Amino acid sequence: MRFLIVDDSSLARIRLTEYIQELGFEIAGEAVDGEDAIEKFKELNPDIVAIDLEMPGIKGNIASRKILEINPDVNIILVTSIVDKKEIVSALKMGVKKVIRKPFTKEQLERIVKELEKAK
Amino acid sequence: MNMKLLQNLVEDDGIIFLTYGGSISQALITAMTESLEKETIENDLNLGISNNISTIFIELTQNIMNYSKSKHLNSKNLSSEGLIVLAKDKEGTYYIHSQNIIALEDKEKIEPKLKEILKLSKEEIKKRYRELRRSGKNSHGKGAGIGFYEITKRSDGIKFDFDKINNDKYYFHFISKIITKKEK
Repeated sequence: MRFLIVDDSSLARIRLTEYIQELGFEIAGEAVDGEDAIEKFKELNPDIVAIDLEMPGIKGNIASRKILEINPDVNIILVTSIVDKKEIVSALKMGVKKVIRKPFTKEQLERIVKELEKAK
Repeated sequence: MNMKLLQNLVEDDGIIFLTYGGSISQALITAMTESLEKETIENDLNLGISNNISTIFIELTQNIMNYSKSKHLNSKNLSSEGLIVLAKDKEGTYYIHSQNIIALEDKEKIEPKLKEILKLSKEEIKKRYRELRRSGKNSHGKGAGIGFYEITKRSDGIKFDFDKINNDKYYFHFISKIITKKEK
């Protein structure tokens, strides 16, 4: 499975990239904000988008909605440090497959990715 | 919690820039990680080292969340309480300390694993880590299985000790050392 990593923090992107590669998956590309995520998604067509919710400009949930309009079958993992249940429920209803709370360990990410693999 | 630890830290490791003792929640870990990342950015650490420091911190705080037992001596309940201290010495070496109460049964799982890790070289740790990850073993739901390999492969040294409280409970103190100014 190929991942698109979306986060405005370079440190967060590095961590996520490292985790994903060590779990044996491929990084299709990285994006630094919501707008960049939509463009990179069109260009790279990844299987999974791991996207931060809180970003300047277009937020992760809005970018996710636009990405799902392009490809409703794509797996989106929304990464967030905010526990706003309404926002999480709304994202899941929209088609986001998983939500993971920051900061997470590699094992926590692995569990989520395995669940997505099983559901394929 | 053992406050003498803090005193020893100031004497041994220099500056303490983040310390917390008490109930640990995911929201608190998030806030502390953000503060730590800000600290590493302000000190112009390279992203690889910053990532190592943050990852070790996240692993250790998640362990406290998952394994800490209540400080009430007769209680067998989980209680996400612990002490976490981040210190830095004059050479820019970081020390991440964690201390929490664990059950005897967890000590019996953790201690042999840590003793095995101490015998291994950095390359052997990386190799063992890859083997464990591939096998899917050594991970028991809540983490802290493969997590210590993850911590050690990112550290420039680890120390640990167990301090007996009673027949069922121990203080578990763990230190990870991260050198930021490496000799070329």
